[in-house]
Amino acid sequence: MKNAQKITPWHDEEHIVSVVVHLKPEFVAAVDPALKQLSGIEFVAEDSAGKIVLLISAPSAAQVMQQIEIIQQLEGVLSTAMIAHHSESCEALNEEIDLSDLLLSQSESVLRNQP
Amino acid sequence: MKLTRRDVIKAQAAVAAASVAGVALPVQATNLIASSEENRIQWDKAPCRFCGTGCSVSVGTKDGHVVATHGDQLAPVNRGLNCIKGYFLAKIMYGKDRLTQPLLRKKEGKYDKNGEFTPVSWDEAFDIMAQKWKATLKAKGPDAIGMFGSGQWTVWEGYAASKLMKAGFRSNNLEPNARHCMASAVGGFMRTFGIDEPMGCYDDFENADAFVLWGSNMAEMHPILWTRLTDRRLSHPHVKVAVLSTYQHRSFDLADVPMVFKPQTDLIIANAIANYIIQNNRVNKDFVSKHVNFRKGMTDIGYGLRPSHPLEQKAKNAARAGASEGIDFDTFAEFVSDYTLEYAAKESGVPLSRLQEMAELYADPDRKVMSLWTMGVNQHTRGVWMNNLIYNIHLLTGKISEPGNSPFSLTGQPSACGTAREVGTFAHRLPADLVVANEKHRKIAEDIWRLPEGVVPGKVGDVITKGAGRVAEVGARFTLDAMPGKVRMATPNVALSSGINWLTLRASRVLIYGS
Repeated sequence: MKNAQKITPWHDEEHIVSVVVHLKPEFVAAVDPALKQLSGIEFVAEDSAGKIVLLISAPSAAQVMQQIEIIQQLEGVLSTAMIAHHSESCEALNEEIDLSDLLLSQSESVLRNQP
Repeated sequence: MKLTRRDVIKAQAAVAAASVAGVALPVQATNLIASSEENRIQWDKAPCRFCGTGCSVSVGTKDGHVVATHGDQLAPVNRGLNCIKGYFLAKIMYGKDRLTQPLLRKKEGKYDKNGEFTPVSWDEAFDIMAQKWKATLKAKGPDAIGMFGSGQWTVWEGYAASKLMKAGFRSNNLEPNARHCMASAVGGFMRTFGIDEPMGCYDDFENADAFVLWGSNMAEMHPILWTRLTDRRLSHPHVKVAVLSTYQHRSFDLADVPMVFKPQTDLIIANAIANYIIQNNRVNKDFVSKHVNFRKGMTDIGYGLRPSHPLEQKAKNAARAGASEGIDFDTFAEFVSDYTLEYAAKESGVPLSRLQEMAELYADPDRKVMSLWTMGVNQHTRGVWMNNLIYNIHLLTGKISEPGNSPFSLTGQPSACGTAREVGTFAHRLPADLVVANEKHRKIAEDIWRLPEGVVPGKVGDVITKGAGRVAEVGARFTLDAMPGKVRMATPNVALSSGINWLTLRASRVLIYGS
């Protein structure tokens, strides 16, 4: 953690990271509320086998690391694997999407492409 | 409803994670796709260059700047997973402290060994390097120059270095930092199998019924492979995980058989498992009779220290550390018969019941076992022996080279096997597993490089462990390494150690399946 804190964040930066947390199944009930209390973490989905999908948002890579470290330390957590990460300036991420440009879901996009 | 790029990117990140984990998304978490976003970010495939796992990543760039990374879902190794180390790799490229131009120690505008690092042009840097190398070559000859490389080099970089040093400068003083981490793993492979190649592959993770970690802390050091192991363990309740270490770490969280042992007693434990297999009549006799030779190695071989060191002078067989003689199965059985589980429990501090459970995982013919290890075994004072002893267990039971049955030496650097070992960035090697001491091998290299006979020198160069101690004597030296600090910090004066008793495999009839 010492090293992570030394990293200077770029100014005005935002990091979005999705992770899959592997739990011992018997700990799902205990870990769930603990995760939901953490700030900067969005709970996306879970299954009964002990897998939880989370989104982490933070202003620096070091803070992403800290969040993961906190999750790792929860009792019953076996592994925390990152899947996707994205970092850009807040300004670039605040850009609005033209709704006409938006395809709502993959299944919908498939439907739209059908003749 | 207003939507920002943030919403789109978050939704896509969530969908990617859910699909990798095989977790269904709640209805409200839709997969937002904006076609403008698709055009804005260019996605390319890349290998992760951080460690030796071999993950594939999709790298997203916007205006020539890396903004995103996704684990490649189609990659057979990481299957869409990514880890923190890979995540930081993209950040490193834009780090303020990154060295992007040559620096030269200067005082008052001139090179001075005691001067401060001053930015110089590439032309100036190459000029001064060429000047120093030429002067040293002229004054002292090719023995006085050397180069340090790394398993972090690409295969191409390593090959170029090998050719430059051995064919160009005619010096074999070329070494990678991989000498430290993999020397005993290579020694173990060579002595047991006669060839320096692993026989297992990652698909063993999904086929094994038991995993034994010999000192490795995979949970933190190999997180992607650990996730595959965790998946196997949690989705197949019969699967068992045994974790051996000298201290308790994160991998113990998943351990069915947790074992903390006293340092060095792993040798006793391994021999005790071999003995348990023999005593309980669980030797795979068919496999052993067809494929296995028994040999006895030397004891009292010293520690690869300088010849002047008292410990080295005291060791009777230091000069013949690699020697061995043929024995038969009965002699081997008699040798290990002293190593009972009770003795191992007493010496190691591991409860007898746990040792028994682990021994049974190996002994049970219906259980496929993967043994996993890294530097705890390889950087052991008896690293080659420890590699040999683990192979012994797998060879006695025939649990080798089958899906799920796999002694598996994990590596740390992306190309320790390729760049360092296969391409020959070692003082004693040439590309394609050839060696400089063999005249025929040198001839092959000379033919390929279109050089007259006798250009590549036959004298083995200075190995890194000796080389570092000789830096003062060496005229010019290159350090081309992603982590050069590691070379200097971790340079003990060690050489390959030998095995007490090991089995060798006659490879002709054992399939080596793809990795």
